[in-house]
Amino acid sequence: MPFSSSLFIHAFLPLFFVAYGVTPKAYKNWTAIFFSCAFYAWGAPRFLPVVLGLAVVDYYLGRAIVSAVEREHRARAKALLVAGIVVHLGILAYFKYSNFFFAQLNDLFAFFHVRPSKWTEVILPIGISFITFEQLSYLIDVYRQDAKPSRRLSHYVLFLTFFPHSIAGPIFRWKDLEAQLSERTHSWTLVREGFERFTLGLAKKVLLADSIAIIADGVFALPASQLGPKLAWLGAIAYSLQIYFDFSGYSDMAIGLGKLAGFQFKENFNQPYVSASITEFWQRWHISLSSWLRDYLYIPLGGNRVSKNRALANIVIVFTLSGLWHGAAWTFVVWGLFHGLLVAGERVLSKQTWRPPLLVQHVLTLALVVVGWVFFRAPSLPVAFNVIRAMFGKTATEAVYPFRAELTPNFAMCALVVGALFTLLAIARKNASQAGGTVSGAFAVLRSCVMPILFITSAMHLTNARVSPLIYFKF
Amino acid sequence: MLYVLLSALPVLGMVLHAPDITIHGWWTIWDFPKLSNIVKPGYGFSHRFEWWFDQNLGFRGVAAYADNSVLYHVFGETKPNAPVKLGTGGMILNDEDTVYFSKTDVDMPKDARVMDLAARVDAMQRRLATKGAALIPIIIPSKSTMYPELMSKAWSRDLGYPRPTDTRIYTRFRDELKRRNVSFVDARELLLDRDNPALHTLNPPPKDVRHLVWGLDARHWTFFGACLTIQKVLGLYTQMTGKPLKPHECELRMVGDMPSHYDDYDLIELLNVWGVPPQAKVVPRADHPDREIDPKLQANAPSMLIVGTSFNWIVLKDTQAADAVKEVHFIYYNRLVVTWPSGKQEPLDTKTELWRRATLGKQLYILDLYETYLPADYTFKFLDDLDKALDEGQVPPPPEKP
Repeated sequence: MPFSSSLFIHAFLPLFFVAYGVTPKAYKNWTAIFFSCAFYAWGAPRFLPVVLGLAVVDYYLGRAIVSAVEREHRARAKALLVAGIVVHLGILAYFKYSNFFFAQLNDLFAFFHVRPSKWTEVILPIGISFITFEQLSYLIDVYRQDAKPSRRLSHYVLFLTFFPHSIAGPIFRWKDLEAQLSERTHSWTLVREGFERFTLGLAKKVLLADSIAIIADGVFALPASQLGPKLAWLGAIAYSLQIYFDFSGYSDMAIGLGKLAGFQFKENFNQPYVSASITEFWQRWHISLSSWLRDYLYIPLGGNRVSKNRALANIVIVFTLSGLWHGAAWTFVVWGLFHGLLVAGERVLSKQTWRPPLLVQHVLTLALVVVGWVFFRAPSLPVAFNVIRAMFGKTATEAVYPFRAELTPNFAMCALVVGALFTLLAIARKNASQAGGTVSGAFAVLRSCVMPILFITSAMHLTNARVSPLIYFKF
Repeated sequence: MLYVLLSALPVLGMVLHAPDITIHGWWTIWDFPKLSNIVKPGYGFSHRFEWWFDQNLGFRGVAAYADNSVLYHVFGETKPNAPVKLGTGGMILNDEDTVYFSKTDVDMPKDARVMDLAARVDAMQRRLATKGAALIPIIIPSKSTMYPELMSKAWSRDLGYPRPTDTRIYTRFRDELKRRNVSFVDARELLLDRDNPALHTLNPPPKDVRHLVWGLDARHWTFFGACLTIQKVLGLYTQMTGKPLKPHECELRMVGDMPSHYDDYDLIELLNVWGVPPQAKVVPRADHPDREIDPKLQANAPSMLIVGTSFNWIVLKDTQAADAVKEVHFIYYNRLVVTWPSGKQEPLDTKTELWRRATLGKQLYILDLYETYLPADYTFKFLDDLDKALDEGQVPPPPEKP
C-alpha cells in the first residue's frame, strides 16, 4: 500500500490518526505497531513473520552482545555481532540477489554450452534493503557502545516496522530514535506540520514525479534508431527530476507521517541538485544511506586513515556496493561505480588550487549526475549506452513512432518545467542571501492556505488516475 | 483537523452513499473480494480490495471531473490512456481513429490480408446470390478520414497526403472490390461528397455539411448519415435481387434539446469534463415520411442480418423507424447475437438455433467494413462460420411462434 494511494490517504491514514490520537499515551507505541504490521502485511503478508522474527533475534542478540562487552568478553561479543551480520546479509543476499546470481551463472553456462542450473525465482520482500541496514546499524552501534540496546522488545519492533519508513526508508539509526520511542511530544502544531509535510511530499510524487515519469518512460522505451540528442537529454533530465521528486517526496511523506505520531525524523534530502560537486551531491542525496555507508562500510574499511590509493579504492568499493544495494542488476552496479570514480577523481583533484567558475561547477555536476541516472533508469546496459550515445551526438535514423502527445503531453512537460524551475531557483537561492523574517511569516500564512488546496488537488489527481473508462458499448 | 476531514471525506461519502457525479464510460466492475480468501495464495486479496475501494470511493466522480477539467481547460488534453482524444476546432475522436490516421509500416496490416478480405467478400456475395440473397458490404469511414484537417499535430504523424492508410488499406481494398465486380456501398465516398444535394436542403445551410452526417463530438455517424447509407444499400439490394422496395426516404430534420446520451454524441460525455458544451446544439435526424405504399413493395421488405460494429445501432433504429426490413438480427463483432427490435442479446455460439436463425436464410446481409478496423479478424471469422454452415447444408430453424 504506497502512501500515494487512495486506500492509504482516505482509509489508513485517518484511521491511524484517530486510533493513535485516542490511545492513552502509555499504549501509543502498541497502536503504532499494530498499524505498522497491518501496513506491512497488506503488501507482503508472508514476510511479516520473517520481519518480526528477525526483530526478536536482534533484540536478544543485542542484549547478548552488550552483556559480553560489559563482561569484557570482546571475542564473544564480536562473534555474536558477526553472526548477526551474517544472518542479516545472508537473508538480504538470498531474497535480493539470488535471482540475479543464478541468472548470471546461467548466462555463463550458456556461453560455455553447459546446461543451465534450475532455480525457482525468489520473491523480494518489500523494504528488505532498508530493514536490513537498520538491523545491521543497531547491532553494530550496540557493539561499539554508540547506543544502548533496546530495553523493550516493543520499542525495537516499532523502530524496525514503523510504517512511515518500513518500505522505502529513510534508514533510521536506533540511537536517533531510542529516546523518542520512550518519550515524545504530541501537539497540534506538530500535527499541522506533519500533514503539511505529507502534503508537500504527496504533491511532489503525484503531481510532479508521476507526470514527469511519462516522458522518461516514453524516451527510455524508444529503440536506439529513434533516439537523437534532444530526446535523449529530455528523457535523462526528465528521469533526474522524476527520481528526485519521487524519492524526496516519499521522504517528505515519511517525515510528515512521523510528526503525526510525535516523531522528529532527520532530513533525507537537502536539495541535492544545488550541488557544485559530486561529493557535495552525496552529502545532500539520500543522506540516511550515504551516512550509513560512511559509518558502517567506508570507515571500517579504513576511511581516510589509510594510504591515499587505498582510500580512493575504498571510495570506489563503497559506491559500487551502494549501486548494488539499490538493485540486483548490472546497471545499478555501473551507476555506483560511475559515482565512485567521480568522487575518487574529485578527491584527487581537490589538491588543485584552481577551480572552474561556480556556474561551470554546477552545470558539470548536474550533467554528470544526469548521465549517471541514465544507468539507474535503463532496463539494461545496452539501453543505457544507446541513450548516452544519443545524448552525445548519435542522431536518430528513424522518425519517432509514439505520438507527441504520448511522449511529451502538455501537463507532463509543464511538470518538468516546474520541477526544473524549482531546481534552478534552489541553486540561485543557495548562491544568494536568504530573505528575512517577515517574508518567512508571509510564507507561513500562504503555506497554510495553499497546502490544503494542494492536498485536495493531489488526492483528486490520484483518484482520477485509477478511473479508466472505455468507450461503452451502447445498447 | 482540516486535513483529517479532507482525508476521511471520500470514505465517509462512500459509507453514507453521498451523491456524486456519474462518470461516463465502461469498465470492469470489481466485486468486494471474499474475506475467506484473505490469505489464499494467488488470490490477490489486497489488489482486489484496492480496485474495489477505488471504484467505490465517495466523490470519485467529482475528483475525476475536477482533474479532467484542469487537464482539458488548462492543458488542452485528456488524461493519458483516455479513450477520447482531442482534435482541433472542437473535434473529439476515439483513440482508434487517431491510430488509423497515422499508421505506418510498423502497424499497417499486410497487403495480402486486405486483398484476401476482398476475395472472401466476393466469394460470399456470389454464394449467397445463388440463394437469392444479397450480401452488401459497406465501407464506413474513420472519423479521421471525415475531418483530416482537424487532426491535431500532437496526435498525428507527419506522413503527408494521401495518408498511407488511404492508399494501402482503403484504396487498395475498394479497387480490389471493383476489380472483382463486387457490389458494395462506399459510405466514405458518399459521406464525404459535399455536393450531395441531400446535404443542401437546410436554410440557412450549416457551416460545414459534414456535420450533418457526422458530428464533431460523435463517435459514430448521425441518423441522417446512416439513413443516406442505408438508402444506397436498399437501392443496391433491388439491383442485385430485382425486388423493388418501398423508397427509403431520408428527410433531414434538425432536432434540439436532445439528452446528453443521445445517439450519437457520446464522446463528449466520455470527456467527463465540466464546462464543455456539445458542439451541436441541434442534431440531424432522418425522418421517414408516411406515404401510401404499394403493399407489394412493403411485402418485399427483406429479412436482414447486419454483421459489424456499433455503427449499426443507429442503422437498426433507422430501418425499424422506416419499417424497411423485417426479422432483423445483428451480429456484434462476431461476439454477440442481437435480436431486433426486442434488443435481446446472447453470446455468439454457432451451434445454437439462435445463430442459425440469425445467419441462415436471410435475404439481406449487411457487412459493416469500418475503415479503422480493416481487415477485421471478426469479419473473416464470420465468413468462415457462414461458409461452414452452408457447406454442411444447415438450414434456418422454423420461425418462432409469436
